[in-house]
Amino acid sequence: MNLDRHRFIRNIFSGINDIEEWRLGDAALAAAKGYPREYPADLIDDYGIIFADLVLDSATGRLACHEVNGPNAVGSDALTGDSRPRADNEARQAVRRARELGYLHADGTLKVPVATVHAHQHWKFFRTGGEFYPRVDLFAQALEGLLPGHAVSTHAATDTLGDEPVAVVMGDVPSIAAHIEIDPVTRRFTYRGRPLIFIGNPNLLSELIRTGKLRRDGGRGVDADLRVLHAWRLAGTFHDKGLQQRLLSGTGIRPLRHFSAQSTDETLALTRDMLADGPVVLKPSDTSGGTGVHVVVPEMSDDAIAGCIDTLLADCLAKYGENVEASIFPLGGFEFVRSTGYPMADGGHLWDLRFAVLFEPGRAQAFPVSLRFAPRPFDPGTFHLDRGQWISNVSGRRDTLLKSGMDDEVLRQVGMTGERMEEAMQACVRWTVKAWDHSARGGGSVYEDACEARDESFYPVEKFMA
Amino acid sequence: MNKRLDTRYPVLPAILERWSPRSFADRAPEAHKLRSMFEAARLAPSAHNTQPTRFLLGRKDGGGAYRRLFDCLDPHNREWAHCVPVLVLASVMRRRFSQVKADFVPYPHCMHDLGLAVMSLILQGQHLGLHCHPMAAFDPEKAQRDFAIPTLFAPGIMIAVGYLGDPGALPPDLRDKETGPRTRQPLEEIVFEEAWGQSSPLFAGEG
Repeated sequence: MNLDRHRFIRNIFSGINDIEEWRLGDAALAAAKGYPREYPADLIDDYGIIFADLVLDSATGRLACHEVNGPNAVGSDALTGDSRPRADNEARQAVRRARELGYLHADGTLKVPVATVHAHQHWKFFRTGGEFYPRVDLFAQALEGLLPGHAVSTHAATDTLGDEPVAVVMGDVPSIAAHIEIDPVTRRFTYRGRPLIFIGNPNLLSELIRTGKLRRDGGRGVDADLRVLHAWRLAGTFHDKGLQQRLLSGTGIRPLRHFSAQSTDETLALTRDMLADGPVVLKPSDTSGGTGVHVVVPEMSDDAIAGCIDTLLADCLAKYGENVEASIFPLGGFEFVRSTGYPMADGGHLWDLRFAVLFEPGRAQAFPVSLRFAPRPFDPGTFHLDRGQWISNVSGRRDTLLKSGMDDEVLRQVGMTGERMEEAMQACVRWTVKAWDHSARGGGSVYEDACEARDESFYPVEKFMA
Repeated sequence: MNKRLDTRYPVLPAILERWSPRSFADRAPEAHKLRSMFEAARLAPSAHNTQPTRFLLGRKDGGGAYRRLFDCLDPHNREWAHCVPVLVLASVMRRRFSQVKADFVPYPHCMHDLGLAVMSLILQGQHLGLHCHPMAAFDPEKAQRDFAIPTLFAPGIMIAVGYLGDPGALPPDLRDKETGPRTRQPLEEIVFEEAWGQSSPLFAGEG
């Protein structure tokens, strides 16, 4: 498929409310600005991508982060107009994994037919086809280049696979998950009986948990060989919004106060506690697309807060169906952070700025993706009742509410100077490396880390130096 | 060949029987034994649970890694190591990533932690009937370059792994060393109590 075909696909999706960040792409401008910026990342030993949604806190003037998403998210085409670097990154991981899992002969030929899967949001909520489908095509092309002599065929999730050695399958999360199994002995993933060498969306794990094919093995890990997932070490981190905030400490981005609740009653109690310091954003685990996100404010009664929690659960039930409780708890509560205002004719609008970090062994590339603006101006008295006043994944669907992360005038108006941009990118890379280390070492359980957090001189390193 | 040292106190058989031979049999260690050795190394302790050790495996009957590892050895070690069926390069993370600082910090205990992992590997091998010979005499810069080892990691030790061979196949000077006695300092010289250099009374008598 050539670039004209990609444009053809994008034109189709433009008619059905696609986000269309590809329209923001400007390769010449990106090059002039030195994007993507390159950073060493010695600790990173595999491939992946993360997207961090940042704001400039109007109260403190510091960077804050709403959340970090993984390869489930999009925007990798907002820099140059396509996601080729991301697709190449995915393909290199797929081939590396095929070799490591023993599916390749020494000469690089495949021993068995394999499959890859790219899953997107549930169809009803899917607004990123203009990025998704061209990327899958670029991935298939890259894979063909890396596996010379092997036919690579693309398939819909509804297709029965043919006799091609490499099947690249795409579809929405439930359709793809329906054909994924986990080998009971090796704990490896298969798709329609073929070994999987790449899974492009960690949200598939949530679906496999919801449908009972996977179970958590204590903590937030799952009992499967996750190495085929893009950014696999961070798979558990993408759905643990509390952990994401804790990992921000030391990166240069201010962590938000937060709690994690295991039940509706606990959510109510912890929310009430946190409201003493200001409004609280409630977010379920393992959901996507902003589903179930609600804001509660100190003025609300307990009944009103309980009603809000019920609505949250109903939102998730409507999107994901039965057994949703298996994946939405722990339910997170987060300090509401009000960004600086972006001035529009009707007042100051909240915004956020997404950054991407595309990484591979030893290095990371960071770049700004896009600014999203809330559709309506912020009003401290009513914002909790009006989703249009704050940023969520349903924001930014109109071109006036979505700007390039390279738009200097817009960035100036929200306070994101060049220095701030560089600071933000360095912080995002730091977060990525820190999260990678945390996952690799089971960092949350290391006693010495906790000691060091309380007392920096705990390990008197300099006294041991020669 | 019995290279056991006399001991005054009981120790684990694998520790008692371990020594570092230069004569290795022309017999590849079984894959399951190698797996167990690396599994044992994986379980070794490390400061802050940093788990800083990485291994590069070269099997004579495998791909090209063996030859490239062999070429990193000092010529004196190549004199005997050409008959070794498996070479393992153990490297270590030079700096530790601090979760508190979200950055790398000095890691003066890295080589210590590497040693812990390597000893676990060696003892597991010994338990399974394999012998190991760790070698410091190799070119770490060449290894770093030839295997594109990231600068975060430092090649620390090369380990020969295999079944015990016939010392008669070794050059005469090495053959003598191979069959000669092993020596270790007595406990009184290495374990102190109350003051540095003052032998611990722990070994002065029973009780």
